[in-house]
Amino acid sequence: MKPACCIGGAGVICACGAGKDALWNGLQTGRSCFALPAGRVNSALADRYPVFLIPKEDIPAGRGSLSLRYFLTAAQEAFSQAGVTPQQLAGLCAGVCVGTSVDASFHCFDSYARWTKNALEEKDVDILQDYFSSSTAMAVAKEYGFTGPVQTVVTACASGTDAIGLAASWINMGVCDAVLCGGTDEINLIPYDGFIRLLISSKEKCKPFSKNRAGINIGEGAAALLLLSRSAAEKLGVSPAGFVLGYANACDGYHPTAPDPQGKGLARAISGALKQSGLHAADMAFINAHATASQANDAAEAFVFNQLLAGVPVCATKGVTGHTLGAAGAVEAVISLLCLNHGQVTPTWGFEEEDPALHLVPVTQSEVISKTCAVSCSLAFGGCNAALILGGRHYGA
Amino acid sequence: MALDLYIEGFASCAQEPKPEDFSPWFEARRLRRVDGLSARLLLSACRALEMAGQPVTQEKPFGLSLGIGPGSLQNTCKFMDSILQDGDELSSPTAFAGSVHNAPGLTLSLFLNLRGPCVTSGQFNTSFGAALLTARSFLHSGMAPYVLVAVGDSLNPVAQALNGQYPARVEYPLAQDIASMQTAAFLLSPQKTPASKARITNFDFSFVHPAYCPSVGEAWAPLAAAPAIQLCTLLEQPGNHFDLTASSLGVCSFLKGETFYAYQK
Repeated sequence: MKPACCIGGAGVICACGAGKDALWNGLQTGRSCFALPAGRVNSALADRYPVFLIPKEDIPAGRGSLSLRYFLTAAQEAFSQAGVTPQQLAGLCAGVCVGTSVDASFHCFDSYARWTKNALEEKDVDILQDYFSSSTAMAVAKEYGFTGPVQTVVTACASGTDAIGLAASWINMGVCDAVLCGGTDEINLIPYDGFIRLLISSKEKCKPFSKNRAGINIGEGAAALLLLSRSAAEKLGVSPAGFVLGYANACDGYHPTAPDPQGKGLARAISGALKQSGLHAADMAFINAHATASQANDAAEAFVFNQLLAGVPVCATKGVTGHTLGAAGAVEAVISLLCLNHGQVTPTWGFEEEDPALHLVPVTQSEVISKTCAVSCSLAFGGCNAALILGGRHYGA
Repeated sequence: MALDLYIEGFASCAQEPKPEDFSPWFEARRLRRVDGLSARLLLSACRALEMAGQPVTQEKPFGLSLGIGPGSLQNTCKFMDSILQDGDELSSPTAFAGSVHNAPGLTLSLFLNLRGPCVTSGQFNTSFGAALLTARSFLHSGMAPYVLVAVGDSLNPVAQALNGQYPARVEYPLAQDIASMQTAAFLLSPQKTPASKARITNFDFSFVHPAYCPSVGEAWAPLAAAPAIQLCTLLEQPGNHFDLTASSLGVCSFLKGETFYAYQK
């Protein structure tokens, strides 16, 4: 039976540039914009910790926060791939489900600093008012005139994966005919300083699953997927670019910022997503790991993959995109889709040396794949774990 | 597909809890590092579980769907204060970790031993509608047998100041009175059980142009907990039916249902 939840189109913007072609090129070559954020981030630490930035020439102009503009850029590509316009969805129940971390947080630092000195300026009132009167998903719904459910998912670094999974559940439950979903985040002072002060940022390019991995590099970006019910896809004449086959989330209840060392929550999330999809580990072409390159994250993931998905190739892509926080799960869902549709899994850039404690060597060179579905997973502060099972365009053919 | 939701237990919390409020379930020392928002959410959640006749501290595969307005603002402000006062080099990592919207999710899953799915939604007044929608997804996809929906806000000194200093500039009321300290929690099930107190029969959560939103008066400030507190109040009133409409910033929640019991304090 054909899956109920179709991916009509997908779009992305990240440190590789704008669009899926730029991302695919970055995944093949390992090249992207990795730089010190001086000029973008006003931190005394900004000359020591590089990050993955969207190239200056690709930063979209327009109104709203950077995160909103990034998402709208990605959404435009998703509509374009699907061959539909937002107006064509007017007669359908169309919703918006966006994951973010930075964009939903009260990060109006300059205004806040002036407020603490009792020196609030007129412009600050507008900035603060804007923050308190909108959310990312609402702004997107307004932009496209969608009138279905709107949800801004703020499950930290699992937000993008959760947003796609919840959007798929809206389609599966018949709540929506179409959902624009994904994740977005921008770099600013708060997460930049915050991750450095938590001592999990690396001064070098991250090294997922390597013995000498020294931490994460935060990044920015957005990815959008246009999900359609099967009947909506047929009505619109859209040929699916892929499918959302399963989703689950499970919490660790272990630690505010570290995963359960045995990845108990992650294991439940992956098992749940597989169960929902009706598929098994042996059906998976690859795993797109969260792989932040922190010691704790990669160890927990390796433990779970060895237990649940032994023998399935593992790829990690934050060596090219950085950790795009609330966007990460969505960016990686698009990467998974690209790999499935190209019939090729991409190398793990940054991997240098096998860690004997992990019993896991990720894919280091492009590999041809013939299976048509994959797992993409995310772990987050607060002990959240989320997993998606995605099918490529040839799934079920 | 029938997508009804059954309310097994519910509770609200209006004040900063005292350590002894938790004494039926936890030792006071365990709560030493729990921030105010998380503590208030936890107390509502404990009471809702107890009302439902469910174990509070025992491990269970229940899901958690949180609705938080602007997140834990006290921690976010604390982190920014630490940058302003101590500099980037000495800013507080603890405050940063606590500022993440999903941080209260850890507190609840840790103390209540929840092992099901956990998602947090952050969109001010409409967070409650989003949290209910998420709970329905978890329940009807079989991801969890019960889902705890918990909604709350963090006291917001900046919005308070804005409201006081620039009332004419504020398009939507940013009322930050005692309501901003409130939390509410509901334990939901996808089917009727002997413990069911009410059934949500109609639930619609959609974006519409503000012009088409019904007028709901001044009661609805853009706070996550406001509609949830209103639902608790409705469930406590005599009568067999409840009808709740909440709107904010163009997003409307329409919620109708029936109760099966006579509320007793």
